[in-house]
Amino acid sequence: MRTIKAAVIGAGFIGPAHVEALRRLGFVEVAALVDADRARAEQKAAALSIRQAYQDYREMLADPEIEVVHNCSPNNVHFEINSAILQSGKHCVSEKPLAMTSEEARRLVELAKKTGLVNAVDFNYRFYPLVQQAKAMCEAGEVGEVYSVHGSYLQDWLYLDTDYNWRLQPEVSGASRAVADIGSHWCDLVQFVTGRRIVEVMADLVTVHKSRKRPKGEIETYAGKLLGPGDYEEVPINTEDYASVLFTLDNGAHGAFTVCQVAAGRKNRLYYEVDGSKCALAADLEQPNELWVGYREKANEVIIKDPSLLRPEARPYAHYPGGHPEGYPDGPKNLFNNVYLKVMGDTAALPYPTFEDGYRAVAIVEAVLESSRARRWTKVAY
Amino acid sequence: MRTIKAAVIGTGFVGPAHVEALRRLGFVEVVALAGRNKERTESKATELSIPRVYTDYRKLLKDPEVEVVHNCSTNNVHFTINAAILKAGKHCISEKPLATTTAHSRALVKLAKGTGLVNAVNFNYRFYPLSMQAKAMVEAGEFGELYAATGCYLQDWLCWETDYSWRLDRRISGVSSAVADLGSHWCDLVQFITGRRIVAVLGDLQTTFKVRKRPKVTAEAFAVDTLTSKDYERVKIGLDDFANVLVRFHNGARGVFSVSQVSHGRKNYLHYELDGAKCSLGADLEQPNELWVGHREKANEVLIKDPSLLKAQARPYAHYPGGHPEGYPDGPKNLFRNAYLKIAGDKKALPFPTFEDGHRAVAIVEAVVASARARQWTKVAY
Repeated sequence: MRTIKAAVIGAGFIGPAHVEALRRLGFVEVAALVDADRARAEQKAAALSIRQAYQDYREMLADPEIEVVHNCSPNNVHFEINSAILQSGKHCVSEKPLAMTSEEARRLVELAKKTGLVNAVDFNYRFYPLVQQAKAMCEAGEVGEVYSVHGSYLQDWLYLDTDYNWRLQPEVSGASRAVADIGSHWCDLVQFVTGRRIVEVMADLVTVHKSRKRPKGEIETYAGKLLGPGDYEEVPINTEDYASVLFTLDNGAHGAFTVCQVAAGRKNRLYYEVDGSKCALAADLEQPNELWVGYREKANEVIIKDPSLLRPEARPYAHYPGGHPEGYPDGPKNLFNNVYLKVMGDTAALPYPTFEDGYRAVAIVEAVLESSRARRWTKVAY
Repeated sequence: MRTIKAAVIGTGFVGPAHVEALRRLGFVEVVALAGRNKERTESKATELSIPRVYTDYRKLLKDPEVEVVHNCSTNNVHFTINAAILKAGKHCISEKPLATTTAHSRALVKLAKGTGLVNAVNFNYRFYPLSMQAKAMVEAGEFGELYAATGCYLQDWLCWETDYSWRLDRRISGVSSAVADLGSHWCDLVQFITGRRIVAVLGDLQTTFKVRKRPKVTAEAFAVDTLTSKDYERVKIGLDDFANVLVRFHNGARGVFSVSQVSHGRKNYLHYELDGAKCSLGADLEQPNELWVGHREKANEVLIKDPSLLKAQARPYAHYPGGHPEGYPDGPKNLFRNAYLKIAGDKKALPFPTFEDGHRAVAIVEAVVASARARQWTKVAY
């Protein structure tokens, strides 16, 4: 297999995660790291043994050897950078959100289509082996008709009013926080597993901490909990810490999810439950190596991730034997593997979420915001 | 950091796991793969994008570019190959067991000391973040004096008469199967966390299947596909697939563990529970992102892997935020990182299990087997 050269833009929390996942593939070289903060770009590049560090992503895009670029920048520059990547003729793997508005996201879908370049969005939770198993079970008819879908995505890293991060600034992160950041993962995941689409929403958004104390230095996502008391200034907050969203699916089934970033003790708990006409499926993605299957007429079951117990469609996503837990880092590895095989021209056409999926996620968030504002059911304008 | 070139000997289950873990470090290049079967080694090398292939490990050892060699061969050649690696002036990372007899493991410890080369044994479970946390809690005095240790290490991959593996063959595996394979991990981990050494054992070994049906195609450990061949030959089995072992620690504390390769539903279930004067610590390593802390005078606690909740000594072993589960592949990554930092000349002296620890493990296994034969307590002859 020939070696593909990739670059990553953004040296925060997720950029290095992309770097590590790419290196596990064996045929990808991470040739460059870009960060708007030159010192951070150089320091992280050295720490990660990446040869080239850039402060200006346009300089990196001029390098003809780079074939694929990962966009791990803050949300407000996703549209600009994703466009630039495609326009420079390089394949693009974008972090979510694809863009801050559905208008921009739609333009990116069109641009990607026009250029014919490979385009992906990092909906990594699809790529846990047992999520692939859940999807395979649904596709095989084992779950039956979907009656309802429900669950939550809860975190506590913004629990204290002294927790602060760029995601709290709407001009950088977007008009929605919890729903956009984690609700998008939840919605993408359940739609992926069930094969159903969310068509209408009824949302209730709440800002629990209406003001927060902002410290002087920049805080990486999730890193704020390690900070001790320091100099703070009071800042008003108008993005939601909590939301509950009712929704209907395209088959008429109903559902509900709650997102919350002030749920003490919940670190990164994506929980979903699918009620079907033949059985129910449930998973807590803080324990991604177990899938619960609920039955009316016999004992419930817990499938432990074990390749020999997975359906053939799911099996390639498990790389270690039963009881050898695969975790968070293993999701992106699987996603990128499918993307890069396509980049190489592999005809197997293994699936991965594209800009189209990224656009759908943005459309849902916009409908949620509109619904909460107007306090009524709102159709998702795909 | 300069790039270090490494090679792996062995193309079974764990060799590729070493390759993947090494690539995550960023400063290690896996340049060669060695295996006895030419076709299989070439095919694995292609799959893993490893440039050089050897069918004779001695030729690999003559390659001046290779600085570190990972020994992932079958047990019966561990001594020969480890000795050859050191004599060739290369650092050595050995899979367990270090050797199949204490005569050999003792000789390897002496040889390693004489050459001054970096030597390690892959006791990977030490390197889960919460294993490091448990150890740090003990060292900080939060656990108190060790009262007792209980637990087990159960698997089901040999629970059918038609399951067969080289690990059941005395000539390849050594004097024990279950106690050696699984008990060595359990004992190493418990001794590592508590800082206490096992000095005497009382073992009771069982061979559940005294005859097994061996198929013509040899199966990798944890073979994914259920073998459907009807061509079997009957093979007499002399090694244990289940055992109970009482242990005595050097402070007088007692313990007991069960090991099994015939426990339906247990995929790779290493469970320990350590009773201390101040609290208890418990973990199930199929769910390595939770540590149970038992209290008499207040509610029990469940610590979820979250860097902000870990003690300072444990924190560097967690690379992802709370609720982003780290799994089996992340252990070897941490272990190799410490070993390779030493190879790179780093002064921090971050710990990793050495041949000394490997020898201790072999000594315990020998004592258990001798004890079971004599049906009495047997001192461990370190």
